[in-house]
Amino acid sequence: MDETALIADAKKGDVQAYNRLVIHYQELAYNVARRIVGSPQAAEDITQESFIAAYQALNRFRGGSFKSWLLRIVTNRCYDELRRHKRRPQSSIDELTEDNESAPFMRSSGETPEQHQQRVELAEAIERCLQALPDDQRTAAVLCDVEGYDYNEIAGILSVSLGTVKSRISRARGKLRDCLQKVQELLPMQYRLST
Amino acid sequence: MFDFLRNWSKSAEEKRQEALNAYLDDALSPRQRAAFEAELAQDEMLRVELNRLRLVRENLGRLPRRRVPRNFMLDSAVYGRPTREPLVQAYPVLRFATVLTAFFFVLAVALQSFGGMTASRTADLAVEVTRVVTEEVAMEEAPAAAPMFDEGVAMEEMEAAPMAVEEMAEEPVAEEPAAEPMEEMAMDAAAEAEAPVVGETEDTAVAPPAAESAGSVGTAEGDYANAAATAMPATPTATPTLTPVATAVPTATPDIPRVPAETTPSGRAAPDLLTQNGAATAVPEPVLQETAVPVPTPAFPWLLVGLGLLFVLLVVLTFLARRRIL
Repeated sequence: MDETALIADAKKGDVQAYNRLVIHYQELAYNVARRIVGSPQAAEDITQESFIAAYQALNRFRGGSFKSWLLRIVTNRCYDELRRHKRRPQSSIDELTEDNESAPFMRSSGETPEQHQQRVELAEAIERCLQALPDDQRTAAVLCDVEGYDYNEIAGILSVSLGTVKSRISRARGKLRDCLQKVQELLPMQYRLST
Repeated sequence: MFDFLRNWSKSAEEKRQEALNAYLDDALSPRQRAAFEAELAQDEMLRVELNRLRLVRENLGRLPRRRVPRNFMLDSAVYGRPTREPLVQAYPVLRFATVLTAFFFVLAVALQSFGGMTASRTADLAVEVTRVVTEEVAMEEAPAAAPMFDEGVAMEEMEAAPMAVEEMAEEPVAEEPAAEPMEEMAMDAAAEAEAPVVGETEDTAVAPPAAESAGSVGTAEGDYANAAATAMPATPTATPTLTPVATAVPTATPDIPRVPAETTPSGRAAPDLLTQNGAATAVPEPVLQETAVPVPTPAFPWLLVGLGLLFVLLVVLTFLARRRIL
């Protein structure tokens, strides 16, 4: 996929070219929104709004990483959503389980039902601990540990300094560590923190 | 700068945790990494903490990817071309124009300062030259007004006057002994005249002391100085140099009795009356006050104001355009 050519075509009004970009990045955008806001419905709305906003503002994009630019729009929309509701979104365990049924992580070959259940519980515990974090720390942790971005990319996406990114990730991991230690009895042996 | 402030307010434990996480994410510089590894080799608790954080990171990384509930593609019938962003499109031009305007603004300010200094000096020189010319005219008219002078001596002195002025212009210190008290009197008169003028704009404000001094000082040179003092504008840039004036009429009236000066209705000192054999003769008053060069005004204030306003406008537009660029 020639991203630059697609962006150039989209700037000229070629919606089909833009839709190819949407297909390529929609899973990423949806997952980031889902981790940050917690609610699948809100994440869906945010993803759709972000793609629309990105298309309308495509002429503001002046090169660089389109993925980072798009994620910046997504995270800004997530912050708007969180501010709008002023509440902690709650994840449904049933929904989590249902989603995880099809995830590769949960569909390991040769996995016993007991192991499958342990993995579901682990994911649930992590999700809950993530949602307990402050918004900015959760966003940094999602982008760094879940999506695998480095510090510089996160600083670009969040429009903050490198020192702020380091600080947020350090605090987020510290809180996640404490949170997961409290529920470590629920975790499989290999995932427990007390080694 | 804000990072520095934040680091300054951090506790040692916070810095240690940040270094630990940065090491885990390979975000330390080689030097920092080497230092941290040396510390890690010695500290068992630090290694335990590092392993815990590594597990946290791995667990987060194992979180499943969610399937998208639907496609988020845009309908081409609904969405046409992306919104035009003229401000964003013009960002490079705006930035260049801002830099250019800033350059010209600074240049104009520099020229203004330099030009102001030059104009001030030019004004001083112009005042001095005008004064010399005026004195020459006055000296030429004086014999005609007072024909009973010893014409031989007077003519010699009149001819010598411009030369004296030229010499004094080059060397302000008076060569003749008599010129020094005259110069002092002239300066005193000027000081008297200047003192009340501060903050005022009308030359006539100094008339009473000048008229008084005209009546008390016993030489015509002092009167000339008073007249010159009254003619001095309020602004310091047009203040003429009085030294050549005092020496311009050096010895024409050493022992001529003088009549006390009258005061004109306007408050200025009346023309000096030089008498000989009981005949009073009016000496034309130097017209210095008429020839004072006005205060030099800024060369192009409108240009400075215009450039300043344009610069501010461009800075605002550039800032807005930059903010719209994501």
